[in-house]
Amino acid sequence: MKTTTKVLLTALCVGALGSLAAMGVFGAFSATTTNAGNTITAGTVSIADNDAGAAMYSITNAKPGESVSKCIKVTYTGSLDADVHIYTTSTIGALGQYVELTITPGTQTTPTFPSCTGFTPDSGGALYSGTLANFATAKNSYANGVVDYPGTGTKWAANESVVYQVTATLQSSAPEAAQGATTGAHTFTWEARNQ
Amino acid sequence: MSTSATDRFTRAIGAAIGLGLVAALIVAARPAGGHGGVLPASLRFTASLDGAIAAEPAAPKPLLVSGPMRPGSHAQGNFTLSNQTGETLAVRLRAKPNSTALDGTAQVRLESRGVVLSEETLQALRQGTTKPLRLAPGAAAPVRVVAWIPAEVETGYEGRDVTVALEPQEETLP
Repeated sequence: MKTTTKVLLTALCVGALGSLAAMGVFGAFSATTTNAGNTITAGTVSIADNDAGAAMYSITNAKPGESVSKCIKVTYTGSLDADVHIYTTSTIGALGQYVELTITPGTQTTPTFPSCTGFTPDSGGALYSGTLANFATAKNSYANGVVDYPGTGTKWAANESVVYQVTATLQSSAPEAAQGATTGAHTFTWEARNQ
Repeated sequence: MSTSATDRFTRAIGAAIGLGLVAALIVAARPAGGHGGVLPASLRFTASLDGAIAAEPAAPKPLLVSGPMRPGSHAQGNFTLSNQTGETLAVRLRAKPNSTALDGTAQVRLESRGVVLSEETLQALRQGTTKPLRLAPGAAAPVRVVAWIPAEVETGYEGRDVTVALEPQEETLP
């Protein structure tokens, strides 16, 4: 092969390679990055008890000094940490002023509504102690309800529970005016709200 | 041997070595045969509680973590349900998987004290166990969960990872 031919072929190769390189340089630069799989799922606030729809107590023909003590287990099953307040929105009848109400939190070895067998009160004692009528007046909404947390905590987390012993006693000193009176049906509410 | 003949011979050897390397690379990268060459499935079960029924272990703690599952694989776990109410309850367990990925593929059997409460696909278990578990007030019962991918399944499980919450649904019995 002649030197001239070699030089020409070399120039051809260099030119071809240069053209390819130029195509790369002057082509449109492009780059992407992605962040996939974004999603938002709301947490839950859920609270339940073990009453299976039954009342804790229903006493008829009560006499002064008669007392009933029942236990209910309240369980928080939401995913968000929550506060729980206890209150009633019920209208209490005339007997309510003569009924002493005590609500005590604690634990129970084998909760079986409404039995209090095996109930152990928390060291802090009762959450509320006063007449049923006063409870209905002072604790009638979430805002003014009785605040409680499991144990010594400051929140309700998923699957935490507290057993509440509710004791209602017709005062020994109930006057004659209390005869035949009633509290009427009343409902205790445990309301959870996320923190 | 002349120079050109030597060149041709060397090139032929080089080409043969190159082809051999490419072939070896392809063989090494080829997925293994059977089910061993694909990603396995995995199942995780938890038991939810509500106010009336307690479960142990309760979600989020799992009662069953399967590990790698392929057709023919079985996994099992146990938990306890207890009735906290003062009523006798008929309890059914309903599956709530976090995806439908193994709905028609995974089979699940729930049994308590030798009684089969249900044996069906994960999809069917979304409707609840066919037989209820009867629990007296304060009573507890163990429940065994067995999950498997049938050996005859060929596809539809690969790489699927599903968490199943078992939720109690109770009915008061007279």
